[in-house]
Amino acid sequence: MGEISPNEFVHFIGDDIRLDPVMLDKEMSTEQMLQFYMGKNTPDRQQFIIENLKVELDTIEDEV
Amino acid sequence: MSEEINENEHEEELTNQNEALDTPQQETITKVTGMYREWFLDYASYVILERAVPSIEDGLKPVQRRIMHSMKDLDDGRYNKVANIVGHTMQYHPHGDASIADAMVQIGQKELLIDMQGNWGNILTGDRAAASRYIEARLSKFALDVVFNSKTTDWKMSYDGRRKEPIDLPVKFPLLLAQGAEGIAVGLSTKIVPHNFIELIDASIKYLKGRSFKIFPDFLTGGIADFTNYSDGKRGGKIRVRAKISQFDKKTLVINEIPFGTTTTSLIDSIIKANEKGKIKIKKIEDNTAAEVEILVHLPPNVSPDKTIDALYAFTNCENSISPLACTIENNKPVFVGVSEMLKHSTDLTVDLLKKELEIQLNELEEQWHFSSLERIFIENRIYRDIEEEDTWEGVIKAIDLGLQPYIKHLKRVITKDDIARLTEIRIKKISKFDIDKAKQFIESLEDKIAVVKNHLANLIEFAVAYFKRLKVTYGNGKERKTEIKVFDDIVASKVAMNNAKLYVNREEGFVGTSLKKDEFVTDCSDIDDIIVFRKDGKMSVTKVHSKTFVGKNIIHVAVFKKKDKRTVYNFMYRDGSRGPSYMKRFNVTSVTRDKDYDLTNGNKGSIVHYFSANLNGEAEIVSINLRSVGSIKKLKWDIDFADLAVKGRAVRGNTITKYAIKSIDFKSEGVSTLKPRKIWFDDAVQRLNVDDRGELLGEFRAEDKLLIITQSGKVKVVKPDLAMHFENDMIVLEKWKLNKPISAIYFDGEKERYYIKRFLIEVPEKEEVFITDHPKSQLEIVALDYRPIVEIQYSKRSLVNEQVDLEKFIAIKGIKAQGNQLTSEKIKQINLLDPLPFEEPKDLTSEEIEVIDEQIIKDEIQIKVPELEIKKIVMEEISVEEKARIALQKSIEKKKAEDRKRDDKSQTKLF
Repeated sequence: MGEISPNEFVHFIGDDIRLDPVMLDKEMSTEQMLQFYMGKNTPDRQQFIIENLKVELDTIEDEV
Repeated sequence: MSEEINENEHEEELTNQNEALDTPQQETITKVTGMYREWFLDYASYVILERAVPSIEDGLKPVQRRIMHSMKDLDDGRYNKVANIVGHTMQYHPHGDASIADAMVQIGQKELLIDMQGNWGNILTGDRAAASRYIEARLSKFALDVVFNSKTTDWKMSYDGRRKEPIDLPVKFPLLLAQGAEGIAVGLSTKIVPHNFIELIDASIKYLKGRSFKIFPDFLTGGIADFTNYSDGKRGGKIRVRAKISQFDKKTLVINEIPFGTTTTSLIDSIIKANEKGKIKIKKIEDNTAAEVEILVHLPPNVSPDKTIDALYAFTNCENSISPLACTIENNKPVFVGVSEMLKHSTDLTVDLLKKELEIQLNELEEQWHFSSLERIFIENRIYRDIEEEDTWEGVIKAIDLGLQPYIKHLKRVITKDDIARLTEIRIKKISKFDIDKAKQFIESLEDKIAVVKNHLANLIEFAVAYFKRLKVTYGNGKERKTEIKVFDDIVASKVAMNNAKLYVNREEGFVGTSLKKDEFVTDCSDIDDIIVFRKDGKMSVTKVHSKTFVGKNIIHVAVFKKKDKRTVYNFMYRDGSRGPSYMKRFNVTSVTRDKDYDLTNGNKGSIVHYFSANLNGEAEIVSINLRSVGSIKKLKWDIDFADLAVKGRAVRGNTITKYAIKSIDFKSEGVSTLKPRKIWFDDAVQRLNVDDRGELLGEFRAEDKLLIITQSGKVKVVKPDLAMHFENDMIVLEKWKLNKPISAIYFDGEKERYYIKRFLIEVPEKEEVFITDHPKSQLEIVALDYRPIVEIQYSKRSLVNEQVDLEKFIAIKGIKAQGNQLTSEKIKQINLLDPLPFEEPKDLTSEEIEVIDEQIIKDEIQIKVPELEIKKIVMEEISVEEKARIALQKSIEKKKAEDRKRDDKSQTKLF
């Protein structure tokens, strides 16, 4: 972690480390999931990305 | 990298999940897949929208847009250090300074938006730009004109909310198509190649005028390109680009333009690599590139420059193929649209922006007109006096408003409080010096301007066309097309590959390969060749050349296989089954599946090949069939001519020869080709014949046609053309032999020390004969292959004038062994071959019969030296319409002959 100083890093792995509980999905195995997200680029995945793109835009309405 | 981290985190969470399930906080638990989905989409969206893919609106990727915006921020007309601009850009683009600098250099190298100072690198050699602290930049005039307008720009906050930056720059030009773009995002990528500046403007104008247009890429590096399969730049399209290679001299090729996507360095590397692999043969390569590309490729002796050019295209980066994939961002979504669509979009946007600009301008002018009119009323009618008695601000406003009321009917909008407040701010000085005429003039000029803008708005399309035309005139200089558009021929790699291996065969054991050096040598080949193998059992297969391959025992024929080769005909006789009848057939093998056995017999077990021959030019020989004498067979021996058999596919059964057992089949006599004449070329550089359109065309050869070869040493020979033929170094004549065309020669007889003229025909083909005397000092002076040659003799004695000699009149055609007639007893300084007298070569029988009469007329006219125009007239008057047509035909034939002769003459003079 080149961007973080050791003093800061202490807080990441301390007692109050942030942990989110998760649950495995019954419909999709871990292997399938990894295959989809990390595997070869498939037309399916491309379509999935295009359909679910997240847009963050902080427009300035009228600045005159 | 971030993805790896995600994976680790995810594993960590997996170990926790069992405990997590038992805890009461179950409702807050996210599914792993959902979490993963979010991360993935965050990352993919970011890379697609914020990094790799350009917007369809302004054609810029975020980093490029931010660089341009920063340059506009810093623009004061002077150069700025690139490092400074990069630093400024980081206020909007919080990423690596090096990558921003690289992106900026790339924009600069496209020579459109940035005015560069210092070493910005070289796209030809691939040399990098100097460090960003050494080089400077400012916006080009074009960029200032076309890219920016803060009034028509939509803004967003920068990443840290400190500054505002454009969402898209208001670019009034198809910038994306002019510059091209390339980017790899997550799940998708884009590749848009650059197009020609002028052609884009022309296309925009055409589109505005409602006409159809087509645009093709153009590259700054030049080169040649084939856009047949461009398919509008969409996914699946393909462009082929080639270097411009020409022959510098017989042993040197020069590359003057390189294909898009290469640099001279990478190109030379690829050539050296191909040479090391033995695909091409070069002696050395020299890079003289400075401002312009010049790569010299030196060839070793006996390597054809023609063939090497083809080989360079086939085996090196001299030919590249580019697969465009147009993907851009439209409304925050990636879209895959073709370049025509992009151009239309950009042009529509330009019109839209021009309209906005005009509207803003109109609004400003109208405001100005409104206030100027108010001001005029205010001063002219001394309304300012009305406020003298007012104490309050409200009172002042009211008084002015009231005072203005009688005069404001012609104004275009109501008077606001702000207007009146502005009137109160007018200086006394302005009132005292107010010039009514000047004010009137000013208002009128505003009215004119408003009229012009309104006119533009009403005729927006014409205005846009004029705008594009102005861009073309102002910035189009020097932006002409650089890449030549051409349709490429397909180079068959195996045809131009150098033979870098030797093929051997072990017939009995059934092995072929390049490593079987102890076995029988077959031919030179290249390691990308395919070989065809025929076996005694009537099977045939094609396989790639390897060091050692088992192809089946008892090989009867092995050779390099050429795809689509229709000239090679296999003459084939086989016995079907162990006791069946025998058949014969002729076939060629044009295409096959590799490594698959094809049965050429009827498929019955025990079939055997009786007779086989491979004929490169479709020759059909005569063979003798000998039957085994069994029982009462009367005719035991007869001949079969393969010429009687049509060439068919390899799968046919064939014609029956006999149902009896054949004892042997013997070759009886060579036959002639049954195929159409084929064109043969002579490649001067390698001194070899070929049928691949390399070098000089010798003509169309049927099987019986022969080549005439004459050497400087006085040897003459007529031979059957064979592609494997070698030629002597002192060869001076090589052409298709014509039976009745005389050979005229002037030679110096060493013994008698005199010049002789002789004319002769070749009577015995395939026999090499010497037609000058045997003495060591005897020497051939001139060989003329014209029907009626003329020579000019320059005498050593100055008092003697040059003399022209008509060889046809000088001596009749005699035998090749004849000595000939003495030319002159005077000493000769030089003999020159002049343009021959016209002669109509007999074309074919019918035309010969008809044209003889005409030919006579024309010949006579020419001999009495009547100018050509008059001949035509005389002849025309005498003859009927049909004959006129015939004369015209005659003329054109004459003309063509004259050209041929000219060419012949050239080669003649060259030879001496």
